[in-house]
Amino acid sequence: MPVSEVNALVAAKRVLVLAGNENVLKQISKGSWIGGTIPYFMNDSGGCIDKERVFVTDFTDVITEFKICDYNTANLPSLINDRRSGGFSWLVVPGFSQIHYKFALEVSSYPDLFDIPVMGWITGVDLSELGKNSPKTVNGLTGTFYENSAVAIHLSLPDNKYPNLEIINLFEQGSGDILTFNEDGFSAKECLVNGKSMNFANYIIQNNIDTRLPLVADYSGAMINISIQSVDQEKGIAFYAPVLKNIEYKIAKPVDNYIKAFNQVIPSETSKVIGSCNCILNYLYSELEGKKTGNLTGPITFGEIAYVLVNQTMVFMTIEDK
Amino acid sequence: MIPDINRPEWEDLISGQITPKITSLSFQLKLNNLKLSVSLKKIDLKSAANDLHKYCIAQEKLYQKDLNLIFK
Repeated sequence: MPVSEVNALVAAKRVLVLAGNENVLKQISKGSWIGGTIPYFMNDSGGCIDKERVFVTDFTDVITEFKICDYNTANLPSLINDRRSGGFSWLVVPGFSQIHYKFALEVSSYPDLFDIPVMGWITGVDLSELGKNSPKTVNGLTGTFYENSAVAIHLSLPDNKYPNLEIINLFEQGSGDILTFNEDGFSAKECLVNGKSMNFANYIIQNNIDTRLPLVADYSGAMINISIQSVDQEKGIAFYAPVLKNIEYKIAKPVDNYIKAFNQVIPSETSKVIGSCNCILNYLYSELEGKKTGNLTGPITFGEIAYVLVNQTMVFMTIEDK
Repeated sequence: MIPDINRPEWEDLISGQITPKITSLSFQLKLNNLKLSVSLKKIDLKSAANDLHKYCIAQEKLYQKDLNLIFK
């Protein structure tokens, strides 16, 4: 949507989540919105990079109340109690920041996390500008841009509605080795391969593992991915989300044709979807530019939030009738 | 209607005695979290089962399909 149209929505006091390049978000008036920087999108025409328009998710017609809150590394745990009973929260977190790492490492230990949905995404930049520009979040009420604070909008729903947060993950565990780690972290030098300690980079190289395939953990049926960022025999393996001790991972089975596989699992009924996002790695590895993922549109992000941080996964929220 | 807490399936789910194909993301994540807590001895099996039962009461509509699968 062009900036002028977004500003018209803001002026009409619509309650919004905005995704766009930093230069366009800076042109949006203050109002009841939160936002995050990202120039990659899945729109009605397919995957694209767009630095002129804004992707708008408008909650106004489905909610009864909202509250916008900022979270730094000190007050992040208060996110849980700020959520609205029976409602849901939408969270944007700046990529590659301390708050990103803290959220990813700690959120699963927060009490009652799974009682109220928290959906959202990790903000990013044009990949060609990595290291030059930093991903940011925005509190639209104050107009503040953050490099190291998350921003959430907590939303209440009418009594006759409830939210449902789901994922579409085309990856599942392969039949290979069981990989475990002795500590939580966004990087690992060592891993346990079927219980035996190994240099993880050597393991990846010696086994000729395609690093576009994520590590996959089976959370009682939910496949949760950890994507590999880089492989360095000295520094170890860097990940886009943390590996956790006490969790068993396997390298994913390859997905031959993402679009075909996606269209086989996408819900047939998408009219209740109020928002979704997909991963930049799916966009890159599956070459989604110009290709559609059903009717689901949204930003293409540097990490997706479905209660916890996930990678290479589409996340979407529906509002259902009780 | 949520099945009574005395049904053995609650503890069987957490202990892994039964592994139905649950489809709701939040149910999967909650169950996994409780399984992990029990395996790390942070809570006992009975407390975890009680927690899961209470959780499902609050999310009854959302989990109806999964509960029907578990409590055949």
